[in-house]
Amino acid sequence: MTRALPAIVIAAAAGAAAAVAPHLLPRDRRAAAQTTAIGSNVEARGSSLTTADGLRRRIDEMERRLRERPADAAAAVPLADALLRLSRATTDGRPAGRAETILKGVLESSPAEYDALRMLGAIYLSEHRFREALDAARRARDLRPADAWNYGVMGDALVELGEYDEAFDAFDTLAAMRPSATAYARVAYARELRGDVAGAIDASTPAQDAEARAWYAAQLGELYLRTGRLDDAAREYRRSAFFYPQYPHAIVGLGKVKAARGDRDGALALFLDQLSRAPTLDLAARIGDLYAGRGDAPGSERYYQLAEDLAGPAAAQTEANLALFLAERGRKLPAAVAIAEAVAARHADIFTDDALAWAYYKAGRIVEAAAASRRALRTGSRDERILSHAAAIDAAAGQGRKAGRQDGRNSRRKAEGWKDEGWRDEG
Amino acid sequence: MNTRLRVTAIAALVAVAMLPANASSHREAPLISQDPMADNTDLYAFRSPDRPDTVTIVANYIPLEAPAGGPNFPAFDDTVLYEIHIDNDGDSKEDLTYQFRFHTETRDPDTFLYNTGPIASLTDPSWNRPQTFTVKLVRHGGDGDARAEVLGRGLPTPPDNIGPRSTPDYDALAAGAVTTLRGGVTVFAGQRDDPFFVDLGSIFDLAGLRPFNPLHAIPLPDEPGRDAVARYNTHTIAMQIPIAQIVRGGHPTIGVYASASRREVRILRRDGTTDTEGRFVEVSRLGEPLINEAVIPLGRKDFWNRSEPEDDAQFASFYTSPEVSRLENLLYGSALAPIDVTSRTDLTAILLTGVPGLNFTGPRQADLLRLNTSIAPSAAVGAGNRLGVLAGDLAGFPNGRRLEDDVVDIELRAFAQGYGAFLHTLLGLPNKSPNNLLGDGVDANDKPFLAHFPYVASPHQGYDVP
Repeated sequence: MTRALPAIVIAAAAGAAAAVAPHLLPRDRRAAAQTTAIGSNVEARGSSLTTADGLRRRIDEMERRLRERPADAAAAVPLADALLRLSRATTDGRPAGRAETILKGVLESSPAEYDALRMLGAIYLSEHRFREALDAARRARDLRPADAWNYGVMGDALVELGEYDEAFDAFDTLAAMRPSATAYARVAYARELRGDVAGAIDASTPAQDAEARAWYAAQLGELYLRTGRLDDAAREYRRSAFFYPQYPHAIVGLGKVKAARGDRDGALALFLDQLSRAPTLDLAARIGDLYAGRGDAPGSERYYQLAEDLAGPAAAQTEANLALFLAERGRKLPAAVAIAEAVAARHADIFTDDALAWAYYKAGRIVEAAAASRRALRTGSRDERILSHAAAIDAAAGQGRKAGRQDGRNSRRKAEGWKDEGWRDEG
Repeated sequence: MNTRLRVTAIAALVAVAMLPANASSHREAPLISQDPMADNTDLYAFRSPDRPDTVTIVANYIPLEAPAGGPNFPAFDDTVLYEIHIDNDGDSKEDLTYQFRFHTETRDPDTFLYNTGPIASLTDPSWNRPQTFTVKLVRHGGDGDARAEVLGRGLPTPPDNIGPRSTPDYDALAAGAVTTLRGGVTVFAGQRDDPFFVDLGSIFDLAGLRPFNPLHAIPLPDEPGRDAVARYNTHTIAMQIPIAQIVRGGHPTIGVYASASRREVRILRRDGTTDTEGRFVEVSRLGEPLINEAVIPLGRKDFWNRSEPEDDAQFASFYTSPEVSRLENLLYGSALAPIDVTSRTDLTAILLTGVPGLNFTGPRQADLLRLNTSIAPSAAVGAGNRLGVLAGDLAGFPNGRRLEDDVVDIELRAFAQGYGAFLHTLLGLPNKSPNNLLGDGVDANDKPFLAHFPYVASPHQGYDVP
């Protein structure tokens, strides 16, 4: 019964099938390869696919399929998803870069490939290219307004850009359309930005797959840490590392708990171990601080220099962190101001405003510092660093009325047992 | 600057000097639209062969559970509302809803282990995360009012099937979790073998069907189908209900669907306290098999999932002009008789209203699994004809759905207008050939079903699975 088909028919059929295959018979759940309703969920089914090994196996398999059929969206989108997760789980940005290349390849040959567009927004997010993420998500939203996913990407991007009202609307839309761990996590973060930490803990709901579960546990650990509940924080960080061994947020979190308990050596051991796997500016800075706390100036300087080097040519968020790092440690203050100003020209989020405020402050530009600091306080976040910077800037500005209010806020914060991560003790 | 402010400022300076640079702003929460614990995988409804005065309904959730999935042993989600809805008067709106809410106890919060020793009974203290559930029956009145009654509270579930050390006598544990409630309704909730069978690996490879590989637009040698769901587990909610309790006089046919709902939550809390008690939003529903996968397009799935079945007329065009049929023409066009891809009222009848003379419930279109309870079981569990009504076995799909019904082959043939001789003769439905031979080559589940409630086979044990 076999019939030979002209090559052109085969090509057309293959192309068309690639375009519509996701709608064919895949069961939402079984469909490991289903790229459609789920986008990023390929391994949400069964934890074996959410471990680091599972992700790498998935990546190998989809890379192989893609070599055979380069424009195969049904392989490209799950591959991009797996690469994105690997980036998240290792804090290595290269897999996400590869994902972007793959998705753009698909979109070049099939500009209407919705799944690729929708995933591209998420990839841009992980690359901290928030304006592009927002654009991609809005285009996807216009194509499929009933797909809740796009509101998640839009909200994430808008938060990073400091456009909070619109971001919170997007999160509320997401949570109304499709309540899920994904939506709850975003509502929790929005509450935290508004200073409602208890509400953030209330809204935190664990996910099922290993990496996401590890992430949620680490987030909960972070929230407990900030409210001074060190035992609870340590338990959640351990839970995170239990579900995803060597999960970076868990290891760093455990180090922070140790530091908060005064166990400087224990913290240092964890941070150094993690640094050997995935060096970041944040980690190097923390290590530098611990050395400084020991009175080891050369050690401290070595890691501070490493922190600067690690900032690299990277995305805006890292730049803002670099500016903050420099300002906080009194290094290269003109550069800190210049970097922060450049980032702030593109982003209006409260953390960038805070970095700018502190750089101005350290450079002696108090009036500008006060203006940026007011912007950093606008959501009501109780972020320890933002509040402390604001108090110092207000005091320096000699604005008695504002300083008084700020002082009141600090007093209230202390009265509620609000504690920072314990770095204060490291000095 | 007064002294107090100065002190504050100095304290702040000391504090901030020690705060590490930290990417505190960019949170990067996972973006997963998949939500397995609130994901319906399959729904079955059939008259119980060993207790023919009852109907058994099996609603499965949580897809593709790898048996060796520790330490992440799956369970029902305590925050999800699981429901089985029954329409018994033909208006496509639920008249009875059975609600299931779960509660997980963590006996030792300092260990993340599922169990710290063998689980010898459902109350064994070495089982660290036992889960119990509550069943409520909601009777919906005609004018929107509803009366709820608790049928059972604190009902046990079995642990997951881990291995010979942790769960040495698994079948006894599972049997202990079968409970008969007031009024004679029997329930079970817990891990089971996934009774579905399908060759996903081939279907995902450009809609391939291995037995028909040579006929595909990209031909390959033919080979037997492979069950991609073999050796995977799922979580089952099973009920056995006396027929007299669910049918209404003059309406022997019931329409069933299962759903999962999560609470809506908003950023701004109403009164500064917790408002996790927002309304429930349906995030997953399932009536007929494969609708969400084969019929509803991607960008509509979230919307479809939170729509009520009674409003399904809005999706009718996806049934009358089905994507699957177009694809069958495209990929097997030279081998199959041409398939109509418009005006497919045969599909709306089977999938949205029921088939006249078999399980028709009325003109209102709704994705419900329709079971005519006046048709007696035709065989013991697992022994019915896998092609159900297509093969003249009226006790099978699409009259309800039994565990053994091969809904993939039945729907492939239906979409391809290869209905077989029986339905051609009875209802005049087209019987195109060779379309009436289509199939994925996987004809049965990998494990035999049980002869008694809950019928679904025991879950695969983690220890046994490679």
